Amino acid sequence: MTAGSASMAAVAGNRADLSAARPLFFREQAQVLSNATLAAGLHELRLESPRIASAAAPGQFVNVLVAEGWDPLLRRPMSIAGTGPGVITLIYKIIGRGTAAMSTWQPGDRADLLGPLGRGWEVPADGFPVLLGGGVGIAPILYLRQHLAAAGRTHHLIMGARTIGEHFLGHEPEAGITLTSDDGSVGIGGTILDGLAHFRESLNPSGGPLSLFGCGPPAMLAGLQRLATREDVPCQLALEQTMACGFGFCQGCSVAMRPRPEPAAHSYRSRYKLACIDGPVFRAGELL
Amino acid sequence: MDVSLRTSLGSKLVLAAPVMTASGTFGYGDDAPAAVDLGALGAVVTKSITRHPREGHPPPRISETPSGLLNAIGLANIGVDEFCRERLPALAHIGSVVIVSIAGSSMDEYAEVLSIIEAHDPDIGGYEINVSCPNVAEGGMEFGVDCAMTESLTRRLRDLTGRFLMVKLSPNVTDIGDIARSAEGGGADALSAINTVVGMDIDPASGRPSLHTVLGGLSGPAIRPIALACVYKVARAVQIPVVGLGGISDADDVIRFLQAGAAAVQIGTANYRDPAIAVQIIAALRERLAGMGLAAPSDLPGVAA
Repeated sequence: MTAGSASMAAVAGNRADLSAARPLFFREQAQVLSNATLAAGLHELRLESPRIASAAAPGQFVNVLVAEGWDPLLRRPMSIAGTGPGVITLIYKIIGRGTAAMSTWQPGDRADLLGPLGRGWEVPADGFPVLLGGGVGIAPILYLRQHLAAAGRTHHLIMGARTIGEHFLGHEPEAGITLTSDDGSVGIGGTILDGLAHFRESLNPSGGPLSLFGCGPPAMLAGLQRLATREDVPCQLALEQTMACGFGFCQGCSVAMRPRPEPAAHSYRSRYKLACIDGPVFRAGELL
Repeated sequence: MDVSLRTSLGSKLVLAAPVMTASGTFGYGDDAPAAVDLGALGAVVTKSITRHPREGHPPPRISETPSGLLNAIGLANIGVDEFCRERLPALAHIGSVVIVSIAGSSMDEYAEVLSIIEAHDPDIGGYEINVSCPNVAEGGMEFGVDCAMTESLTRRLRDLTGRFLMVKLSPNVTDIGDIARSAEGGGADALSAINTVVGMDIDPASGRPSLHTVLGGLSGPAIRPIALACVYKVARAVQIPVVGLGGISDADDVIRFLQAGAAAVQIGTANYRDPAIAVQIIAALRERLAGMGLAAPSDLPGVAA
């Protein structure tokens, strides 16, 4: 598949309800290449999944089947953390039965995937990209970073965790990587928002325009959203939401939007959008 | 042996296979990815359509339970005007029968939705009436839990269309056989059973219900035995065909429902695992029947006493 048709496939997968084209995503039996601990609490799963890898765009996700039987019933949506030739990478944290099952997968095992799904990041031409990933929310941020690096676009990555053991990159602000830790054991002590404040003071003192991209726990996203609104900084956030299907059928992954000044008496997907087909990436300003 | 899956649901509707996709689990009919062969399906039942667009309930709307899914979507849909303008024309060409699901909060709303669709003279197989909706005029009591409301709603819609009319029964009733007879008495051509089972879950750490609406509808393999019992009861209560659904996940499940008295089935929650699963189940059903030496689903023996 050429790069051109790959991006078309990604776009078609995100069509609005009214488009005439039927969506393009794949069910693919991927082969596990490696499944290793990346840092404390974080695991990296590399999968040979050529169709999904060639069609995926940063910010999109796959829906992973975690059980052969019907319990657990639902697939688990996982942001793509990066792609290579025919390969996708996922980063996950063991939080329940699904991710616990994934952690037992061995190289050579098969993983049943649906993807690529969702609407990913939009990278505006202007504004210096600052990428903010908290905890396991680093996954879609790393994929965006890969994309920017490949395009030769300078950017800065700020990654937050509770402590040094949860980090897998080095704190190298001059090389574009700032780490934060709640306990101060590495990088900037404090939250990812403290890391952002530090970046702006020390590395962007001229106050040039920024473009923020964030994914992480709810408190981090809320803080970023407040900052972006207060200072009118362009900001996109990738949300995590429980999904049943991941492609718009179940209407389950609703996300509350900021009400419009004059809402229509009757509407659909205006007050509540769907994380799977309208997102998972949203502009901070449109979220409630 | 050549197996024919052709299935008649009374005189008005013939299906290429006795397997449909259930309302609310498959979009508006042609939303499945291009790889899904819609033409192989017996029918596609659309998401329930209301008079006006609906946003649906606030999050959280879904929650996973053992082998099950709790949902409270709140009938989020594009509304009948947009459905007729933007979706209905294309549904004539998907290669499968389309059954339009209709919902409302008053009898007038159901009637208006159906009349608006009828006015387009659409190329559809008929309608499924979602009676698991609160009737505002009756203090929010669901149409489908009351015999008189079920019968009068069915009759009202019966008078508006000559097309195939199927009433989707709720299991959350004292006697589903009574409701089934009321729908039959109102002129339904077939009945589908069951809609979701009332359910609830709580996060023990926070004490919070898992759904914004507190109560929701349970679907998935967890409800299959309930659904099977309901289909068995309904099939014994009425003369019209019964379409079974509730947790059907493979060809053996289809056979179970056919043996319990269903003429056809619907696949619901399983579509969320794989939008092609209904097509795969039809292929597997054909193989299973051939393996049993049967020429058609109707050759399956009924429930052994």
